[in-house]
Amino acid sequence: MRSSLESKLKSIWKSIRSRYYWVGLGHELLYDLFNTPEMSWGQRMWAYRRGFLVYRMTEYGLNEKNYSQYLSDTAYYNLHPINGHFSFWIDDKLTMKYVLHPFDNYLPRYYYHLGNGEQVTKLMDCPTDYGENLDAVLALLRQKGRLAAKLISGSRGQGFFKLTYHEGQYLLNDELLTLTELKAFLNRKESYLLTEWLSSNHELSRIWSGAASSVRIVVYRNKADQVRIAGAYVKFGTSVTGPVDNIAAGGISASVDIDSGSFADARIFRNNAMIPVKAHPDSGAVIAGTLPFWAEIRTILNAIGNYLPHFKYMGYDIVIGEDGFFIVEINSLPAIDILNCYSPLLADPEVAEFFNRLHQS
Amino acid sequence: MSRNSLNMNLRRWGSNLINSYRFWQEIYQDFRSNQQTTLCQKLWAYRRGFRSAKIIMYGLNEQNYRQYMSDLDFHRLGSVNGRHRRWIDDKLTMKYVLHAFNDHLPGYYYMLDQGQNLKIHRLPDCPGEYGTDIEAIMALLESKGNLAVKLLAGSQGVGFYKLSCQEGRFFVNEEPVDRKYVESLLLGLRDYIITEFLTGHPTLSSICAYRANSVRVMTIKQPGTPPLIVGALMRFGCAQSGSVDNISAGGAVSLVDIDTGRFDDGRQLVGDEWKECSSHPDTGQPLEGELPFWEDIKSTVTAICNYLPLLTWLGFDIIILEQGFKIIEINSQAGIALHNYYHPLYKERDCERLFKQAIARSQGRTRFDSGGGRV
Repeated sequence: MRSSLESKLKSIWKSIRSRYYWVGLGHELLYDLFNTPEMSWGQRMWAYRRGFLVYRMTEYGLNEKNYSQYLSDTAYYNLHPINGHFSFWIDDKLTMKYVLHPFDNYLPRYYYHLGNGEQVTKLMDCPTDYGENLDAVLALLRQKGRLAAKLISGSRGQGFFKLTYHEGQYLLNDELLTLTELKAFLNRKESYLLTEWLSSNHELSRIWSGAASSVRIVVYRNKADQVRIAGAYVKFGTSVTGPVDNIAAGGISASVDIDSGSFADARIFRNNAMIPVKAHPDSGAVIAGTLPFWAEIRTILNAIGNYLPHFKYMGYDIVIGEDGFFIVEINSLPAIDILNCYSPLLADPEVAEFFNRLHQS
Repeated sequence: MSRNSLNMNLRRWGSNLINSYRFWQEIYQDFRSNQQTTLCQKLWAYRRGFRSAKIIMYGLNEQNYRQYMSDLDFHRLGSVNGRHRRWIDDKLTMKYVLHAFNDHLPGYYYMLDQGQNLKIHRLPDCPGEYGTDIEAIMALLESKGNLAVKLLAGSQGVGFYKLSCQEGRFFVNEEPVDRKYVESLLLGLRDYIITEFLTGHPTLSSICAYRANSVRVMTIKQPGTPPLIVGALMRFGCAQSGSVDNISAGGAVSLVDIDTGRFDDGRQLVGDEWKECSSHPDTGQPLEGELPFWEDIKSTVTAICNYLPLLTWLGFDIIILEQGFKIIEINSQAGIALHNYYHPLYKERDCERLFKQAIARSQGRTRFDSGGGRV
């Protein structure tokens, strides 16, 4: 009884200390309050008392019998930072590039860092004949045709832009803009990275070619310290998502079979629920197939897990190209709602044991 | 103002506030404890950004004070690396970030993670046959003979242990202990790493054989300009400094000529003064000679500065071995007092410009004021 009270108090104290808990959960809670008018106060109280946002009731199909198979929102946010002090190794895309140097073949090329106004800094993959100013950045864009501009520690598609140079014209997220406007855009106050633009494999681009169609793979470390995949899904963009493929922005997910790498069971987030779709709403292509390089992806994720033995939990975003694959981002607290929709995370005893261990530590 | 921009500004204000607090704390201590200067001298020094102790240390006067980097500028220099200083602030992050230069980093074997129960992680250089328990670490110690145990984010020799095993006998920092003592020491450590212990080059060991002797190389890099090696010091451990060679711990130091790698003019810090120390306090050997691999060291340090272009001000701690050299630590706020003493840092216009531009950028200003820092 005493130890249970003690652990509850510890958990509350941890929540109070965690800025991420309040910012992350507060953001979700605001969405929850203003976008679920159909839910009654009784339903709200039922969900909040069990640590869930109320729209999870429709998203997961929560009820009294099955809710214990799902990891609650408060419990999940309370775990941050799961990887402790070292979370910044993966949360910050530039640090990730340096840290994963032995796996550089699986990372996109990084050309420039922009920030603090006119400050332009060349990064490791920038060709040597380019300078450190905006004119050099524009020259590189003209040479490469397309570049990606990313917020150094952005997630959920925030701060992601596609820069294009085509037949003498500059485009930002496929919209025309003048040279002066582009220069004004590149004069960033926040830290941005300019990296190579990655095009997806034809197996995925046949479904939707407007975004990268990245694969989200969530890995954890089991009791025997082995790297395991908790779940994986492919994210497809749509006409409303622009250059990103995030589900919250209107993208489509398709569940990946961990053993074979085949994907199917596409769903789209509408009216606070994941609605099944058979074909892509814009291209009409059937959303099913097999991920190229799946066995190699699993091998590399395992190798990275062994290389970073103190990392317990990571959510990889991987873009699969024609000749290989690239890790574009690693999240230290990836969203788990999509995985939960396909299969309740805690229904897998090994995953349940992992989260239970985290709560106790 | 976007959320990221607001965060960035808050972080910058916070950092400036902490640096200001530390600076004012030093000024207050100087005001209370320095008996060697008058009130007028103190006020004169403070108005120019110096502690009054520097009047005696540097021989400051109205004509020459602009040639020296002030204490205020040195404090501001602490924030020039911004958030990216995290890459070098702890030794484990540095090891991973500088993987491209792994040949010049020591072997990292184990990490003793934080948490109530000790969790041991094998690091990339740990031989495959060793497991993840105390027994495995002891077996590795028996096999290697010496291991260095370091606090992840320790500096100035804090949290450093030298573990040795010779013919079945165990030592911690050269003191004989039994096996159980070493095991219980390891069991009680958190946020530590276990690395290879580096033995110095014979040229340097002939001066001081039983302590670590490291070279401190300081560099500054601004966007669009090549890195500049601002200064270098050869540091020797002595009986007073224990297992480390830090100047603050009582080690002796010699100035290194950046062009030739020759070191001489030994000094030791006593209170706030640099006392002449032409020979090693314990061995009596003259503190002079030539650094092996100096050209290699310079080119590697320059390559690292180019590889990490977002870091402006770096202080490399390097141990020269018989077969090369290894970088054991990089400091983002390396002390400059001795360099300022030997070669005033603002004497050369180029050097002054680089420092002042870096400080102005970190303070959120785009232009630099060449009028010197004032309190």
